[in-house]
This record gives sequence, C-alpha cells and structure tokens, in this order.
Amino acid sequence: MSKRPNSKKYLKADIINRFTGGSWVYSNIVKSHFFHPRNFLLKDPKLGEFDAEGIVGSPACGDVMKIWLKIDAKKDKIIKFKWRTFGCASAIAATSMLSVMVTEKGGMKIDKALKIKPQDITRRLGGLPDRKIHCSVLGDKAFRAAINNWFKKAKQSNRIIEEGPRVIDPRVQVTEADIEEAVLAGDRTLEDVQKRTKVGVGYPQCLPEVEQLIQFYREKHFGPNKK
Amino acid sequence: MRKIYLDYAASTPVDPLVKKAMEPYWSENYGNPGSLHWFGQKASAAIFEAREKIAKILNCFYKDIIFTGSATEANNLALRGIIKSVKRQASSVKAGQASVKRPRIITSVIEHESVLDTCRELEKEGVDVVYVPVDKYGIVDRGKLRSALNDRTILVSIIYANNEIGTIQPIKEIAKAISEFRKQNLEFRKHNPKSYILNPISYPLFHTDAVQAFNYLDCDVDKLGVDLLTLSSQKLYGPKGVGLLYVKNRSVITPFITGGGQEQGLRSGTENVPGIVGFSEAIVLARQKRKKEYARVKSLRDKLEKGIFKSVPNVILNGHLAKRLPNILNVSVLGIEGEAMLLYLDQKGIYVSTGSACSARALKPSHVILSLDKSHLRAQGTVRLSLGRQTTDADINYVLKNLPEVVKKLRQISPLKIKK
Repeated sequence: MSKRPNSKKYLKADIINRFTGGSWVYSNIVKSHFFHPRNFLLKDPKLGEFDAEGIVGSPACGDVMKIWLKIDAKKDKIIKFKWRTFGCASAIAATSMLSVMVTEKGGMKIDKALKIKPQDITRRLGGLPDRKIHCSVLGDKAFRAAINNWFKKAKQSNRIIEEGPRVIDPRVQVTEADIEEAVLAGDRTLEDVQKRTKVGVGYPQCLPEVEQLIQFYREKHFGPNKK
Repeated sequence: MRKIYLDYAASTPVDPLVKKAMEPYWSENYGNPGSLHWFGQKASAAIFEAREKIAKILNCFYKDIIFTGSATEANNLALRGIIKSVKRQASSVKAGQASVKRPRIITSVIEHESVLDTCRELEKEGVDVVYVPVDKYGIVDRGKLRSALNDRTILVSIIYANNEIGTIQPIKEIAKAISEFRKQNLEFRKHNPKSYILNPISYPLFHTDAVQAFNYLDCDVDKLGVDLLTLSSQKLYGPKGVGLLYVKNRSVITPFITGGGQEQGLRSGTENVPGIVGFSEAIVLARQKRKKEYARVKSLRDKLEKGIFKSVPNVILNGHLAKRLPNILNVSVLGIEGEAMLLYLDQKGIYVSTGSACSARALKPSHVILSLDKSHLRAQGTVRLSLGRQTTDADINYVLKNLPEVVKKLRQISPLKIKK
C-alpha cells in the first residue's frame, strides 16, 4: 500500500465542507454571497466612472472575472469595487466576498488590499470544498490586474507588482509557484494538478511544461521517484 | 416550497407497486436462492419468475439474462468479459493458426462513462478502440463506423439513447451493417479457412446500452438485432442496485467476478432477491405504460422547450430535434455557468442537472456536448431537464415562470455577453 499524504484529510469525503463539517457543499456565507452577490456591476460603466479595471480567465476553463475600481488617489484607498463573473458558485461568492473585504469600513488602503490572499477570502467565506478552491483564486488575480492598471494610469510604475513566479498558463494566470504549491498539497499527477489549478485547460500548449514541473517539484520535495 | 424533480434521467422514484412486490423478500422470504431448503427455493423461484417476466418483454431466452449490481457493472461485464474470452481463445490457439493480436472495439464518442472509461482501461491492456464521431445532433457517423469494422473487430458498443441529450441512435441500421459484415467474413473464411481466428458467426458482437431508452423505446432484442443489451432498474422506477445484461450467446463472455457460480457462472455473488423482483415488476410496468407515457411526457417536454426558447434569448438546443427521447431537454444557456444555474434553480425548488465543468464530480465539461461542438462556451452553460411519470403541467408552468428570472440574474453577473 502506498502512503497517502495527510491521511486524516482523506478520511472525509470531499463533499463534506472541510471547515464547517457540514454535509452541504457550500457554507451559509458562500450561499449568501452566491444568491445575493454584493457589489456586482449592474449596468455597463460610463466613460470615466471608474479609475481602473482588470480581467482574467478564459471561458474554456469556466471562469472569467472582470473588476472595476474607483480609487481615492489622495488617501491611496479603494472606495469602489465592482465586478462581473462568469463562473460557478465558488467563483461568484469569492469575488463578492473580496469586494466586501476591500470596500468595508470606508475602503481599504491599496497596500493592505494587495496583501489579501485567496486563503483569506476562503476563510471569510467559511471555507470551500477542496476541489472548489481553485475557483476562488481568479478573483484575487483579477484584482491585482486592476490595481496594476491603476498604477500605470497614476504614473506610479514603481509600484506595479511584478508577479514574482513565472506565469505558465496566461489564461488562468497559473504560475510556477502554483504548481509547486499543488505538489506540496499532495497532487501527484497532471490530472490532480489540473483539478486544483485548471492549468492548461484552455491553454494546452503549456501541458508538457507542467508535467516537467510536477516531476521537478515532486523530486525536490519528496525525493526521486522509486519504481 | 414546491419541489419539482426534473432529473429522471439521473434516477427515478420507486413505483409503489414495485415496492409492494419487493416487500415479502426482505424479512419473510429471505433465504439464499442457492440453498436447497424451503427458504432457498422460495427465493430461487422468485428470481426464476422475474427472469421469465423480463425475458418475455425483451423477447429472449430466460437464461440469457444476467443480473448485475448496476448497469455500469453490466457494461463492464460486456466489454471486459468479451475481451477476456477472446484473449483466452487466442492463447489456446494451435500452432499455425492466426490469432487476434490486437482485438478491436468500436464505440462512439458519446457513450456513457461506464463504456468510455472501460474502453480507455482496455486500451491500456492492448485493445484497439475506435471512437466513432457523431454529427452536430449527436448521431453516430455510420459511414465511419462501417469503415472501422475489420477482421479484428470483436465488439461494437453503441448507446441506444444518450443520457445527456437523449439522441436516439439507429440501432437497427447498425445491427444490419454488422450482420452484413459477418456474412462477408463468412464467405471469405470459406475460401481461406486458415486465415481467420474469430468465428464470423458470432463476431463482431453488437452491444447496446439501453438504460435511458427502455421507458420510451422498443427494446425487443430480436427486432433490434443486438447480441447484448444493458438495462438499469433505477432508471425505470425500480430500486437502485440492480442492472442486467442480456447476452444472446453466453459463451462469448468470461466472467470477471468469480465465486459461487451464480448467474450461470457469469456473475458470482448471492442474488439481490428483493432488487431483482422489484426490477422485473418495474420492467413490466414500464412496458405497460410506455405508449401513453411517451405521448404525455413528450407534450410536456415540447411545451417546456417552446416556452424556454420563447422567453430566454441565446439558448441552443443540444441533441436531435426529432430523434430524441421524449423526456429529455438539454439546452446550453450562453454566457452563464451550469453549476451556478443548477444551484439557483435548486433554491427555487427545481432540480435539474448540468454538464458544466464545475458540475457534481468532474471538473471537465461534458464530453457529450463537446463532441457536438468544440466550443467550451456551449458546454459550460448546459442544463438537462428530464421529465418523468410524476411531472405535471403545473410543474412545467412553474419552471417556465422561474427559469427565465434565474437566467436573467446570472447573465447580469456575468461579464461574457455571448450571442448565438
């Protein structure tokens, strides 16, 4: 028998919410944001209504997110965060929650907002089923794209966030670091990694490279493959 | 809240008459059909009776029915059992005779996963599998199927009616093409007696998965011209956990579950007595109701279809307009995602199914929709509404009142504005 990583986790069926232990896939907070999304953009924006926008995703992988921001330049704060999402319940709820986190209490400072991680959103949502976590990652990426758009417009090019790790799949903005993270979380095959990250679903050109990376990180963290 | 179940293609409620027929076999006549005493024989007789009832309806010999634990198991038994048997034949071939080195299975790209995934497994074991494409309505390309037939072809497996889009395949026509091919082979063999190992009297075999079809279409195996046929109890108002495989000639199958030798040695394991009794009762009832239900369900489905196309813009119908099961409506609602739609409808008390990437277990969009049209956009927004015995006109009205609102709301949230 092969040893399974995090064997405790495998004792639970993945339909059970890891955070709440509830038997319904989505937590009540997810449901609330999904059925009553906050801050989504109802009407197409007028020229100049927003200061910046960002978009990521590809319809092929089932998620596309677009974000519009209104920014108070003097206070360096985000006052408005509007969005539209083509995606499943997790994607919609995650973008909605991110918009709330950024704009609550009179708006968040840009630097602070940039520190929000997908895990923070997931936590505020009361958790997501494991195989749905990748759906929540795009919101965060669209947000960064929008902020970079603002930095460009405001001529603050020194603040533009250079995505550290190299992007492997530009459609879903999956980076080398994302692949490494997936391997560390227990993924062993391309299929596993795809389930988590959707890498290459809409951009199959990158798949050979992804396979190489999976093998590289497996060997890096778990030693060479014994056969 | 109203609860409107429109997922009959996933599972059906057990008919009260079926439940009644099963009742004595839980705690009264609980014997093992393999036992020689009174209790055992009582159970054995029940299974015999069930087998006879089903055989009469399928128009076959009672011994040609093999009960299994599910239709998935029946499909596995057909595919794996036939390959196993041919491989055995090949290994016992006398020197000098040609043998089948790479047996071929011909199937279609829109089969149920239990056939497709089994084929992929068999490919790893050296079987040559040809996946015949379909046209934009989901009908198998007969020309390509015919040209894929060769002297190594052991089995052709084509689904009778597809579970997602309901498209009905020309089973009789395919059966005819296969039988003509056999005749050709027989002629060839007469002149070249040593060239051929597969017996052209039985090979290539023809299997059909009739799980979705039985409620509405004729499943007389003789008329269809099939050698093997799969059915599932839970799709025709019977209990879960029972399926069956009809096999015209049992010697073409080598079992993969071995043990006590039940089901003429082809599927060992104590028979599911109440399940089998319920299954036979359900088959009898479904056969009785077939004609009336076909007309009733079709008129409701057509009303639903018309209503949706009238009130929701940018919707595409998946499947064939006419050659389609009367109870299935599968549409792609462009610009929104299937799982989101499913959950919004769930909140309104409407229970449907989706082929989107984020649906139940898979993260890949439906292979069936992708085989009709490569566009992922079409696959992401699919919903399947499948009607059944308990669906009423009022249910359809309720869906037509609520579904357009749900679509409108989700389209507001979506940044994609896709038009047909």
